[in-house]
Amino acid sequence: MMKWLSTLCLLVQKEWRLEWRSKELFTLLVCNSILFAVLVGAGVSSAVLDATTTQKLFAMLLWIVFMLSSTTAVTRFNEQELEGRGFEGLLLSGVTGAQMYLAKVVIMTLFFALSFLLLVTLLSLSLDRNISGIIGNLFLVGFGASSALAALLVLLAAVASTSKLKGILLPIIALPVLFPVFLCGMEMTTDLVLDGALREGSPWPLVLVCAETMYLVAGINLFELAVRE
Amino acid sequence: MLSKFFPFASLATLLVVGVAQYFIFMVVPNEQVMGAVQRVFYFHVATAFACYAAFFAVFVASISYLTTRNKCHDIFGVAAGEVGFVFCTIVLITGMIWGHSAWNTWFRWEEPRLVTFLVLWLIFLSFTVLRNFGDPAKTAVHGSILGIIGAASVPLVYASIKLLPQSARLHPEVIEHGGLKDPSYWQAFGISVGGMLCLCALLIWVRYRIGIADDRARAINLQGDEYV
Amino acid sequence: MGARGRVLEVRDVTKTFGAQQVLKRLSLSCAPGEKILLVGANGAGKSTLLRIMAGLSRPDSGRVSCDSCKIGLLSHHLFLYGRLSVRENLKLFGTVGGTSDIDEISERLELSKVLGRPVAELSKGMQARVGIARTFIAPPGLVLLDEPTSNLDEKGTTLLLGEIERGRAATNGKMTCIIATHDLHRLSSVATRVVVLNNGVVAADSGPHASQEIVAQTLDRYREVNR
Repeated sequence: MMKWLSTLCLLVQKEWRLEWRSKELFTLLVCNSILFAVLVGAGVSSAVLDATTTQKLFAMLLWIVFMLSSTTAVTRFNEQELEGRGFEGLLLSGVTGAQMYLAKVVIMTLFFALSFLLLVTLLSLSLDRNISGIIGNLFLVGFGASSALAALLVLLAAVASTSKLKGILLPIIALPVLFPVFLCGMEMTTDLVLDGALREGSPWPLVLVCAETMYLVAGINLFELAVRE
Repeated sequence: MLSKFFPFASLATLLVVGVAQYFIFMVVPNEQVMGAVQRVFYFHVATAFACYAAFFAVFVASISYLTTRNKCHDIFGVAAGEVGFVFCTIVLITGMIWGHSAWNTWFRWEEPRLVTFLVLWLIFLSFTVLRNFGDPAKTAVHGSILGIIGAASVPLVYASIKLLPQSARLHPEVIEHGGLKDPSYWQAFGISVGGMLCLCALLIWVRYRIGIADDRARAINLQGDEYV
Repeated sequence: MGARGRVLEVRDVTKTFGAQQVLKRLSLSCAPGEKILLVGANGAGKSTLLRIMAGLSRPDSGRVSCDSCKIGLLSHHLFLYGRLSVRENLKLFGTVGGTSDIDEISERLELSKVLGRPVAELSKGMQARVGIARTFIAPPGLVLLDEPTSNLDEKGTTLLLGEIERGRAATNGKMTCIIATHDLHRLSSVATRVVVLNNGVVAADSGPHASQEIVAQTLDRYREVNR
């Protein structure tokens, strides 16, 4: 067990180093967040909506942008494994697909969570919303959704990366399945923005946990099948 | 060996579907509120059952292929996915026809079942796109992975849409609230569901046989041996 | 150890890529300590067979059973991370393979000067040496080498042969080595067995632990056929 965990830590380190050297995922997430936030801000402004309507739209716009930004940024996440076929070297060394998968999920969750924080800040500026009172809870919601997103996208990125359509395929196959995560994020954010806290007895955290559990179970069991020849 | 029964199965399906049409258009009286348009119900609900069955078949075939790596299971999964996609399209279209008659609008996002079928249709679509544009060497494995995840997501999608605060009970709760009072309604409903399920199974079987023949032709082309 | 003392058993393995059947019900078994030269024309199925033996590729039918828990594979794919440095790669693969000491092998393969550089920035020859280091850093029980000398100069080849001998010594002579190669000039002297692949099947086999004479005869026949 200790050896398994120490190998996992080593793999997390490897993923971190790879992303730090290339900065591809981080750059794509940041650029996407900025571009979409600007587009949304310009669009809402030209629609001349009142403050109440903008407040109601905030959650929806945040989550649409976050989902699109994440699914399009992840397209190159598997490229470095394919370039030198390093993942096959790890398989030869006795590393399991589950370990590789979990290491990638950890790193992707971290980057998604950071990107969510950036996006929340940019959108609140763009739409002139004051979210300082709820930023902590909002980040928790974003973190939870980020880990669910990462759990699914790591697996589906491995599926899409060798296809003819490459990155274009990933949003097509991921977004329908991510519908529950999208709804969870949107509803919890709406509660926070309108009422300052989650509703008592809100079912959404449980739905999010169920979605994430399902994606993790699928990923742990199927990732190795997805990457192997 | 099963192919011997194909003509009989085709005839039986044609018969059941024909009887269902007879019941729907000739036996069942016009519904009080919606009139003749209400007959869409028999096609819509029956097709929905067939769609669920096709999706379940994709799920089982995907797990089976990943466990056994039997090519026939993959071909069956592809067949079920394509037929399921067609049936899902029919559910959406008939649902919108019925909805427009009932709500004067083609689509209502508050309606959980309609939205669930829209998401289901998108999952079927993504399955088809992956099968056609995925890595040719790994399309079977990747398609099976998506089949498993997609099918497993459906209950969660339905549950999460139903939990939405604006989720409205717009969908007619015909069966649950004892709407089919006249026995002929039940007969028509039962036969149309049976007919659609038979039709779905038959179409999957046809598509499966096409897939097997295609694979056999490729194998013969490769080796010149009998396909085993 | 498996039945009949075989470290590796390949039975009736078939593999098809698209319209091309690369391996056709191929069978082969290897005993511990053998040094097998796998020869054949381009497209004979050597690389495919090695990948299947390593467990990186799945045969369409047939069975591969391997009693060695550690398999090393060296091919034109480096199985390394190009953006990580040589040191980072060797530490990663060494640690998961069961050893944390990379200095010794780095010195033997003359990689000490490039330890801090990303693998992708090295020449093909130096990359090949890093690949050798990755393969032998924790000596495996079965080593599969696919055209190992294609990017190596004379010195590199000598270092590779040295690592093979060192690996055999570390495993008490039990390390089995299968080398797929066209480089008969440099590698035929190390072989105890020659297997000739042709069109996805074993066309000739000198037999296990054959004498140098028989190995040479088998190679001569192969050269004649392929002239």
